Amino acid sequence: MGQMEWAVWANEQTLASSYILIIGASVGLCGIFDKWGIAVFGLITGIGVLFIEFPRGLNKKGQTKKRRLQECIVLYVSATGPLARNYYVRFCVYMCLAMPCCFMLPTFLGGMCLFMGAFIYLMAAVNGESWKPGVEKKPETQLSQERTEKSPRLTHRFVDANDCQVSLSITEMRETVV
Amino acid sequence: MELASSTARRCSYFFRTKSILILWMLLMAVVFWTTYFHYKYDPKYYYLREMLGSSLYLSRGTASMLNISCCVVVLPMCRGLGYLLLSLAGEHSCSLIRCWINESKKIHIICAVTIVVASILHSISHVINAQNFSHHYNYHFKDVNVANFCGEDPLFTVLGTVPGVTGVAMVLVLCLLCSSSMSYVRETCYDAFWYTHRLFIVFLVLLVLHPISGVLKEQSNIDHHIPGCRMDNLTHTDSKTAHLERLHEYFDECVVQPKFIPQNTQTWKWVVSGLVVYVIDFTYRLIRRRSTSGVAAVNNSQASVLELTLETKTRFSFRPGQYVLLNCPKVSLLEWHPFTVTSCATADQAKFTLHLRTNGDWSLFDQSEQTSTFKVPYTATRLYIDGPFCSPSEGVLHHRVSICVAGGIGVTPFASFLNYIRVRTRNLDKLAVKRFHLLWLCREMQSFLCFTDLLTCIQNQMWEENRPDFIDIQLYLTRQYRQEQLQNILRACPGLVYKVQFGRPDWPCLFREWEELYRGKLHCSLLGNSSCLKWRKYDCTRQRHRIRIMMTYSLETFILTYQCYLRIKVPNMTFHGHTLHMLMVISIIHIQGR
Repeated sequence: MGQMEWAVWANEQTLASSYILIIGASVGLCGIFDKWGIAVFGLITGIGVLFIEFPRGLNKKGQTKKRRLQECIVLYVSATGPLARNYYVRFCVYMCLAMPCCFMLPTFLGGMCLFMGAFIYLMAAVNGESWKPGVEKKPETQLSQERTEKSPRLTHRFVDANDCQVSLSITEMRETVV
Repeated sequence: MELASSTARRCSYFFRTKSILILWMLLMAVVFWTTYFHYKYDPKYYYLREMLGSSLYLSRGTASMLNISCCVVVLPMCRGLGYLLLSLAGEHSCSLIRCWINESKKIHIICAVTIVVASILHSISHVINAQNFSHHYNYHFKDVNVANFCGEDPLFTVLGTVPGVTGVAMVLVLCLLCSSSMSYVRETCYDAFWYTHRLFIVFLVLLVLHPISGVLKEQSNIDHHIPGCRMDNLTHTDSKTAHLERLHEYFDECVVQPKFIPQNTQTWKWVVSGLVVYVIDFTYRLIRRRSTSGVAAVNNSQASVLELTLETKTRFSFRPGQYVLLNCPKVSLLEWHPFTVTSCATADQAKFTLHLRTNGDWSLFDQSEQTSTFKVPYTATRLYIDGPFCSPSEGVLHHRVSICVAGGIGVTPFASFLNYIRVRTRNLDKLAVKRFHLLWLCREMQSFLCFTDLLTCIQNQMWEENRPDFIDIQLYLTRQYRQEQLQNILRACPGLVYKVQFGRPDWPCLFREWEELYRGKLHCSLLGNSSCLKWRKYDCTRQRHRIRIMMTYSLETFILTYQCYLRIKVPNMTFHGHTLHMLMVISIIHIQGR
């Protein structure tokens, strides 16, 4: 379990609980439930958590797989400061937000899921992880730095010692090589 | 006419590739609607309907969807079962079965998505049901109620019953299962996915317990008490059904109170049958699991590839392309890692070889030192073997022409084919495959060295048997080298110089060549690894415009994230008026670090 990155899982878990919270709160607001104030709170919380959790942070290797359209909001999320950066803060905030949701049946499930997400964030925080916005630096793996050769058509390009490109036909190249 | 034929072709192609999905959705729709209308019109549920309304039908409809999908979802994960089925069917097994077994992970995901969608609908409808139970409390027939009194908080109604508590627990477990099996989580922290997925047992046990206390009740004495005959006393009288009106023509009033009994639950039958199959499969695998009597030989002359020759006490039979799971208790007790068996099974020996590319923290030898050394004295090491299991790359032997593209260590399934063919050089005509193209792409020259002997040997044997056209091997070195570096490297490996080509393959040229060679019906199998996948995809899509190929990509990940197989189907290509039936299978073996 040495390479475990809890934050990645916590991110998916809280995002899923935000969906559940939004669905539950919408059901709570459909008119037949009494405590609709909690449903309004749950809806706002769900949208807020969705907003905070949507952009994926960089992992330990400095790579990420961006969600679609996450560039649009990652700057706003990083502007929230410690809430975005520090996972202890996220844990506390989510615990506080999840508490009131547990007093109404439609938002109860969302609240419980958010609790679990918060606990996974606590594990991430204890593990010493923190959120880094995944937009400034383009993730570059070792593989992408060492490009592969293009397919040879009629001529084949080599780079000589002075970094000048030299064109050789395939047969010429074979002769030089063998 | 042209348009009609192309439309028909596209439609038939669509139905063939999406057959599993379409069949499944049809089944689910039928199950949903039959249950939905059963609860909507059956007089047994009259009083429940009075209280709950349409959310009752929705909850029951989704419940029966959940029953079936929770049974089916475990079946694709029975790999021993898949292996048995294919073994029974023999080498010339039905392509549909083969296709379904190969796409087992896809079936698993389809079922899982069904479970998630049905659970969301089921939960929503039960949340509304709980509210209705407390608001529309039935004062006349108190047995049908779930709430304790009128206006009870639905939260307490739910948390006070067994189905409520188990339902909440199941949603939480399902949420954990889903969030940990998202592809990004699987890629970055596989352990979280692997260990969290063991919660499925908890989920299924809770599912069995969920309906067993029978909270929803049906009326048992319809013959003596006409449902709704005291309708004027009830609070809600707006939903009379035609059926009841007809009954009222014959009976004026009832004297007997309605009796309510818990419904018969079907859930445990489904879940237990699924679990029984899983347990049988698991026991079968446990029995088949064996320890090696020792490591016969280790060849770690190549920098990152370890060749292990293992010995078992009993004979180990497998077909080319199959893989085994390997466990080394000294490294980790719980981790089982898949590796393709690269040697060929023969009747007289109980040895087989595996090629292990070391990557990540599970490795049998120390990577920290420059020279790779075995972590423990290898003759004394006890390794455990689970398998063999089927893989889609077995299909290579069943087509007339197989074009295989391998990247790096992804060549291992083909190495086992080459070994298979090497043993059978004298009776090549009995094989279904008539020509075998192998394109092997590597970034490093050293990577070619692990199978140099095999390639040279098979080439010589084919010449001796006068069948040099049976196998066509092309090696590509894709990394950019400076000219002098290249010369040094080639001097270092003299055995291979005459075959290695530089740069990536010239795909349009190759396609043109195959197009000229194989007119009529043709099956191609393309295998590669994920780093070549990007440009392969690009090339194939570019080809599509020129030669009108229809392609779909579906990625299959087996057991762990290590082995991925990609399947490309190319139906009904038209070249110069000839119709070509092509099936391309790209299989990627991608060993990821844990």
